[in-house]
Amino acid sequence: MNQVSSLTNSTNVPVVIGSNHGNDIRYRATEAQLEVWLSSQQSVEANCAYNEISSLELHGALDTERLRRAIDEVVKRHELLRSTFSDDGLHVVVKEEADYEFQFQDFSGDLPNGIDEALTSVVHQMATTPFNLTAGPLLRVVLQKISDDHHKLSFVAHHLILDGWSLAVFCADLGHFYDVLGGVEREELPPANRYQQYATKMEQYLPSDAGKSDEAFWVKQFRGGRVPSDGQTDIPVLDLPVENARPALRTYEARRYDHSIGSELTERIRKVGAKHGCSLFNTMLAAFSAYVARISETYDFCVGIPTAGQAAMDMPELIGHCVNTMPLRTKVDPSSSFTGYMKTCRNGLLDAFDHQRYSYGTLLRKLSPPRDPARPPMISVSFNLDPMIDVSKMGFSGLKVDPIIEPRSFENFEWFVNGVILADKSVELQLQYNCNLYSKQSIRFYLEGFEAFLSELAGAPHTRIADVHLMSIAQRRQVMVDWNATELEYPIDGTLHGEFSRQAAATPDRTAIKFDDTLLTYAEVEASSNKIARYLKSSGVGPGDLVGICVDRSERTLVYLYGVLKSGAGYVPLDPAYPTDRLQYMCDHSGLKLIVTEQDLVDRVSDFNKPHVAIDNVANEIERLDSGPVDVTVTPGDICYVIYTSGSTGKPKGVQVPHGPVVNFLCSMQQTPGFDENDSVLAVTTLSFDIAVLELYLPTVSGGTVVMVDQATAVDGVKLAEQLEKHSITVMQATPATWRLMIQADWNGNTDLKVLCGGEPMPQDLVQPLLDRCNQLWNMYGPTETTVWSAAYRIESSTAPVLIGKPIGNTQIYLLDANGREVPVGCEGELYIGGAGVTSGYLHQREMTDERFVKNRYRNPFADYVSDRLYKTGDVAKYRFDGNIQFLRRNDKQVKVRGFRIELGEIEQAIKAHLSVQQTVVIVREDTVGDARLVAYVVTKPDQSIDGNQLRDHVRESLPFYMVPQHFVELESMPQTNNGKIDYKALPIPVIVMETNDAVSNDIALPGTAPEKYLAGVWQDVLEIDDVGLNDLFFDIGGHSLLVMKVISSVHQQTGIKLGPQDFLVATLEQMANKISESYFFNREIEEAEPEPVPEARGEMNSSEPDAAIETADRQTRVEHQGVFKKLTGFWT
Amino acid sequence: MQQYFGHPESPLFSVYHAPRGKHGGDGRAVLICPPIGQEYIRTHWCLRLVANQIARGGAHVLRLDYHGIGDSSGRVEHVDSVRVWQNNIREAIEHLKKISGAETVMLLGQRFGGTLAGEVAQKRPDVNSVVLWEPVLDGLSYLKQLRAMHAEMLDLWVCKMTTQNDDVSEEILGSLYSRVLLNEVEGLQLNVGDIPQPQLIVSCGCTDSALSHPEPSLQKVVLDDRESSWDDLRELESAWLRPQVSRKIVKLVREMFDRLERFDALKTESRSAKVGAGQ
Repeated sequence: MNQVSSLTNSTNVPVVIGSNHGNDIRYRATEAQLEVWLSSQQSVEANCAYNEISSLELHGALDTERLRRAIDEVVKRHELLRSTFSDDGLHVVVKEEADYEFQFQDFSGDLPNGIDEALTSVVHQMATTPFNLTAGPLLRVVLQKISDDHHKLSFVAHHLILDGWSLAVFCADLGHFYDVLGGVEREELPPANRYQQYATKMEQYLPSDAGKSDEAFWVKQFRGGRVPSDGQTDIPVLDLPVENARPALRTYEARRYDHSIGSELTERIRKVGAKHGCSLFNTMLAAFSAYVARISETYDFCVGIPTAGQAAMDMPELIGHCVNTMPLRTKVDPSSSFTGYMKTCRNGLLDAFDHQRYSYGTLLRKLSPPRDPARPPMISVSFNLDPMIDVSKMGFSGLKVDPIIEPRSFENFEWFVNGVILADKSVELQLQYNCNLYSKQSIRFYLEGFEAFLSELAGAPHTRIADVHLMSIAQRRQVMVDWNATELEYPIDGTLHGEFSRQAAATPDRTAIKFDDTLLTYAEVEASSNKIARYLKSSGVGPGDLVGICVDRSERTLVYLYGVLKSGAGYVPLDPAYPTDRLQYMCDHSGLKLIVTEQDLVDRVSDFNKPHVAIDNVANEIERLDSGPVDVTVTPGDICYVIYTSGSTGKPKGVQVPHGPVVNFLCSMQQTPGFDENDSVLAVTTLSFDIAVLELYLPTVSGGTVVMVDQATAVDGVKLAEQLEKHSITVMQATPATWRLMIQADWNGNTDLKVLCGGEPMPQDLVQPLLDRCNQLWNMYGPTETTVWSAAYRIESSTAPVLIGKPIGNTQIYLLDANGREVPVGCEGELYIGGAGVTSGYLHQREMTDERFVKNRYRNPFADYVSDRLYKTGDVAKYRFDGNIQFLRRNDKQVKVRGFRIELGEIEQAIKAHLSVQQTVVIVREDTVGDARLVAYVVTKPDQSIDGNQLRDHVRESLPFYMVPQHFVELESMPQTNNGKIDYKALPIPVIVMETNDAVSNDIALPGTAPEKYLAGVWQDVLEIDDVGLNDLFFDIGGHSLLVMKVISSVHQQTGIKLGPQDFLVATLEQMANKISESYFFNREIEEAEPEPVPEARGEMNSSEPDAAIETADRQTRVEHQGVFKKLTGFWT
Repeated sequence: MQQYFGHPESPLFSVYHAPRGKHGGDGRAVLICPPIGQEYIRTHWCLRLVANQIARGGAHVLRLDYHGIGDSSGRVEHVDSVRVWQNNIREAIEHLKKISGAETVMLLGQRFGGTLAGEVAQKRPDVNSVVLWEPVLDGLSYLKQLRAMHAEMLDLWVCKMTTQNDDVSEEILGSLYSRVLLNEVEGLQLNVGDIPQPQLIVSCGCTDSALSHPEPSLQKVVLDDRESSWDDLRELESAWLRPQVSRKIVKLVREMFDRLERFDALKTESRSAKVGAGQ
């Protein structure tokens, strides 16, 4: 017989013991129960998050009948076990009769293989079956028979009636009654504590001096010294390194992963603590908090600490909901020693324990912080450490008992770490995690990292927290070494022009470059460039010099470039389309020896006051020169080109790129993404942008062909598409902006084409259109400073995140934190690049070079690269668990608004999901100091328009309120830099552009329809305010969870429509009113309710003489005065 | 937030509503000048609501109690001139400027408070605009109306009542006023055309010619289509509430600020620079 299926269609029907409705006792629930009750109303999942499940494995001959009676006794003894709750959750209703659910499952007989699965499935079912809180019962017991002398007793109770402490009481009492009923002599149990008494005590506590002082303590933690009335709270947000994108509405689905900290390490940790007067809990908590702070790079956050009310109230025999999760605010100073932090932590913990009775829920209502529907309020992680239930005194004579804490299937917190101290002194860390945010793999990784962290602390507790490793040696090996094993053969002594000459010798007759209808073979380019080199040499140009190149795009460009290189000099591209100021700066700064140009541009070039030569003017002279190789020695360390990049501040920086990195780059590109002699590239990029290096040189060192287009074509989607078609191009590289241009121009794509996209982060919305139009799609990543591209990633799906992949040949990438320490997989770190691609830094800017090109601690001593430094990119990225890297943002674009860390890209994604939006950029503007605002710039699709309010509503649907931009600015097109990147500096200040669409300045939209007015009235009543607007969110204007229930019940009573608590997190008044608008109720007129006047207490008038008030400065004549207001003529028109 | 200000021996009571929302109060401030006497009490709740809503739109709002009225010091029968109350408004303007950082303020005066505010505004370049909510335009007819109600009220008792009146003071609807003050009020007339600032006038069905302004583009008149109830004795004990028109006013106040901002009229320097006026 299939034992698993017997669970569902079994004959073991649950037995509900009958209840007597006659003499139920009612009393007020505690605040903490109310909070649980409220949270349980959020959803079925949220309710199941409170299913507390435990099991006892019982070995030996079990008297099942006696066990049943023992359970009866326990339920009789503890009133809360047979209680339910009133409709509104405000009252506990105690049933007179023992009332619980009992099931018996028999898995004995022919023991199937799937016994474990069967047992697990029972527990899973218990975990995922919600309790009906009003009907009850709130306790379910399942006895599973595995064999005659092996049973498993599992019980699940709603957290409203049972907590961790209660569980121990429950088990002990159960064991006791089992013994007593079996005639075993036991000392009589002390009288049970009554929950009603506990509730009364708690009720008296809140308004008492102790309650007030506790409240003051907690409020102070989150409001600093400020007076409460200003409503400001300072609640830090913890950003754990989540693996998957955070859903807009938080979920509860959870798994548990257990990781054991061995007894040896635990003892060492215990000793570290003891030496400084800290308990094991204190020490573990400090270590855990420090670890969390490091991996999330958040140094101020709350950890939830469960505390037992039974202990605080001295009611040890009480079963009930007495646990309180204290939001312990901890500030980790990474530069302090662990022992120092541990002691700070101890003080904070002791203070908090002194005020532990004040419930988390009450505090939440008191503070009413802005709610982020994507996260649990205030507390994301919770940490607990308890000894395992002591079985030695439990009873159950004649049986061997093993207690088991079963995993929950739903969890409130993102991480709930429950440390269980086992009999052998080891600690089992049971980590319940939200499985929509994390995979098991990631949790395993972090717990292994935490163990390594602990172990390092145990050995050297005085280490600065910032210096402790976050990964085990094995993990570090994987991340630092294995994922960077990119060794690739390349001509270590090669130069760029040397590689070309080699290729020219091999394939002299193949076409090297095409432009319009002209083409040059390899041999022609080789011969012509030799002549030019010879000419330049005779003009005094040689190794160590820099030569400017200012020419219009043509097939000759390639000849000039190779010509300059062969003369021994490096080149500086001077795009004639660039602004004169910038070109002038580049000429002066680089100290050009000479500018190579053509006759048409002589006028422009002569402005720069540098020696120049128009090659076509001296064509005859050059033609007479020898076409053989020029005798100049160039080494891989000599400069190949200097390219100026815009610095985020100040003047452009000239990056000096030697031959070695260029050769390595080209060799690596030949492998990945792959390029050979049959390939051709459409070259669209200005020489001044270093990605042109790939377009011109990759084909010409591989035997392939460059098809050069002029500048007008490069910015015309239709013409580009034509060129692709005409020349049967196989590889094209461009920025996202150019690809977008082509897609808009109805380019149909080409199934042979390899698309390389780079230069700026690839927008997700571009992925599918490109995938549809090409053979392979590659996302390329790399700064000029490490030679064009340093990582590449082949994109194959439009639903997966766009990654930047893995380092290219002979390149290493390290993700390091602010202190230069490796960050674990999944955590944010700054991206550093080392290896053969690292260039010689900035021309004439030693200081800046040293700042950005840092010492490479990971240098491979056996590799002889041009530079042995690491380039610090300023980009923030994280590793995926497969070793691919995900670019997150620029370091300097990291923003925090109202304490929330905001990823602008996420907002852009949300805006782009709107059908009318073509392109968008979101930035933070601080046009007024201290007033940081999110501004979204939007380009709509052709013939579409959209206003700010529409977009705002749209964005609100998927993003938390703090990520909704304050301004939406519509632009004709995005301003672009010469490189085709978005020119952030050219984005206009919002108010000027869209005064009318600036939705923030909108008046509060007032309720108009009957349901809106009605609902606004209900809100106004409970919130005690009088100006609720259509776009208001309940929690934004002072609502809290208790009030939510008031609104729900009020609306339910009057309209029969039941709103869900989740609606309040995300729905505006207007949206919510739409839900209830169909009610019959609104078919009738509703009179506009006017609030009852509430007389305010008037103070007594005193009898002092009215003061002859101080005459203030208003002595001007009326004539002058009127002049002042003259200019306001037309004020109302 | 409740605040006392002014001379320590005769402090004035005020309630400050801190701004919320986008503007965070940048330069926007409103001083609310309430009515006097029993009208002060009837409108108290309404003005509180309006103050809240205006503050929510991003302006600093101050509600003022005049000397002898509400929670300010002094006894109303000792107030011997409207100048006392006008000076209260001037002090409150200074106080509001100080706590808000605004350079100019908007005066929102209701009933007799509108009359006082209108007078004060005429001589203050730091008043950027006024809102007059059913202002008392003619002091004599105002007092006539009040006295009639007073008499009617006394008639309602089982036997006819009288209140203590002497040469020095007269009781009207529960407030004892000095005769000197009442004489002054009798002679008071507000001509809104004399107020040079942009103005919003809320009027109850009355399209009085008194509301005309030499520069019509500075004036906006909003009609409250509910009937005026100031002379209705039955309303005496109930709060005076006008939710619809209140909302309209709140909306228009915000619009006025937007317009003032556009005319660059929230700051004093820019204006004084242009006309060379000032200190």
